[in-house]
Amino acid sequence: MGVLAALPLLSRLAFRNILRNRKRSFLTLLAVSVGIGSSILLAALARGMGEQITRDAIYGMTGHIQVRHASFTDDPSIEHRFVSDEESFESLMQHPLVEHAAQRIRVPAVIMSERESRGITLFGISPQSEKDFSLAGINPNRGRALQDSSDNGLFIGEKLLEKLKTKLGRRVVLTTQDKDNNISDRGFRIVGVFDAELDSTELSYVFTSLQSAQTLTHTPREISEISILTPSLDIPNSFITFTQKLYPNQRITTWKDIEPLIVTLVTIQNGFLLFWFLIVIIAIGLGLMNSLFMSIYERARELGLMQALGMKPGAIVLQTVLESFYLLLIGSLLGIALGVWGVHLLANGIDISAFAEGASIAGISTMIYPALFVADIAMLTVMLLVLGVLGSFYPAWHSSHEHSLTLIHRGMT
Amino acid sequence: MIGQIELQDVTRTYTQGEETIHALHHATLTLEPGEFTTFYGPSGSGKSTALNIIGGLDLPSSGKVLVGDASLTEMTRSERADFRLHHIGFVFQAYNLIPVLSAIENVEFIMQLQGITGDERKERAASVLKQVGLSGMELRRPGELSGGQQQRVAVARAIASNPELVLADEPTANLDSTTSEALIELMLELNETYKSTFIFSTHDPLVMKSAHRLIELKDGQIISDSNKEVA
Repeated sequence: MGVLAALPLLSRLAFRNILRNRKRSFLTLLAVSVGIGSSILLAALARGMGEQITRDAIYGMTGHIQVRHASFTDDPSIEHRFVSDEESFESLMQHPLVEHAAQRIRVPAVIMSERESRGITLFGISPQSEKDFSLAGINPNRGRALQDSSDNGLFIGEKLLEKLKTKLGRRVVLTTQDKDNNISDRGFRIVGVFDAELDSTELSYVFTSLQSAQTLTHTPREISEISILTPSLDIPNSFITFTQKLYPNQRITTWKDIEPLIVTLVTIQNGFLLFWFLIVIIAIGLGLMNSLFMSIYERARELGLMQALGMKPGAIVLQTVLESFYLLLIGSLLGIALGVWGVHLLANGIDISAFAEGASIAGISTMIYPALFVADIAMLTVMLLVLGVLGSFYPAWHSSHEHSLTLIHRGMT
Repeated sequence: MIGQIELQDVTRTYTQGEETIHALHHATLTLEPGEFTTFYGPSGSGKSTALNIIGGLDLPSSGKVLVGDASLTEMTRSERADFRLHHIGFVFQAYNLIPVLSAIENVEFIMQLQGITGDERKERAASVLKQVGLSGMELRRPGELSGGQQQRVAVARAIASNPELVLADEPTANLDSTTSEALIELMLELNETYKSTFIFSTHDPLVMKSAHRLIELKDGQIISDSNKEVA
């Protein structure tokens, strides 16, 4: 009879041996479930943070994809602009993957109040295009939002207002370079103040209407970028090709090219998570091996008896491995339940501002919302089951390769 | 049938520190099918070693063991396990049963490994348990049975699959005389009915009295071999 044919008997023995020493099995299950549960929670928090950073960037001013002048990424100045082609823009808006698209001027500038000055990034926007898309379209914290493409007002962040030591309704001066590399400046009235997720955004982004920015830079009908929002972070190549055809002289860049730091951060985070999963699994595996060795040592005579009665070494190994497999499986299921419950409890987010004040400056939100990924749970569970079962082969092999008489005599002493 | 059992110049030595112990010393012996044989002698005389070697649980340091056409000394570990499973029933001195299995499951154990199907297995196990007087105790775990009842379950397990050879290492050592007598009666009956070969190692005069052949061992050597029926 093959070893596999003895599976029902071996399964029964494995289950009953788990129930035999309930305290030890309970402690093993507790270790497995806490390990898995905490890893799921940690992964959800890390993923949540990663998603939040990506979302902040995408819905900040990046979008999923941008049409830019070929040199704009390296030198984001007014020199690197292109003519807005309404026909191409209309065609782009018709594409099913385009949820939102906005044409903008983006230039470095200096803002001056009566007391302070700061370097900022000035955006010339069409308020209607930015609605439900970007930071430029959010409701003001105070004052009013920009109303149309010819609005002469200025929409700035609360933090910047504070730094400039000025107030809503006051005038400030914006200075930048125009298309001929001459200094161009103009007075603007602050009409609205926004509150962003990140302090860094509030300090560096200033919005006016597209026309006002074009007037300031002497670039009528010209823009720096078209930002596009698609349904997903993964952008099909066919869509990039389509966009490239519409704008053959410009460069099509994805959010990954524009925000390489975020991509690196997420990659490092993935590596860190994998490393953490491995550490947890190795720790669980070592604990399980110890528990199996104890269990096997206690059952030495019984295992010797089974061998003496004709159970093959392979079946002895399988019996021990099954015992470990069932413990890991039950522990994993409990751990998943624990992890999911933990994520549910933290669904409203964790405010880390009290102990991570610098986070927002680094582009990380101070509120973390856990994001549960089935792939993480599956990877963790599969890794645990595979590595745990592999780890249990050693004590199992040990038990099956000891002489039956040695085991019988050990059990008698 | 596995036929004759032959021990050809079998020696089994152990080393204990610097001392070499001859558990069995140049033993040569032939056992015929259907015999009811007892190895006897003082502790350390080599009775259990002889039984273990015949059962393939231990290997001789030198010499050959033939069971019918099969040479146990030339088999792999897995082949010996398979040989025991299909041809030999074992009864040990104590702690004979698997504690997590009930009496009937213990009896079924070997049959299940042999691949005998569920209904037939259960029927045979129940019938053998009845034969050893344990009807009604099928679902009890070993911890819920007395020593004598446990030994009877072990005997039931050893005979349930009708093995050609039953090896019993001091099966009555932990039993009172009444239970011992009943157990010996049972094994004699089985020997008579199924013509299985029974080999015991014992100190127990009751077992020795019932045996057809008595082989005395001392310091690992066979010092006498008498066949009562012949005598």
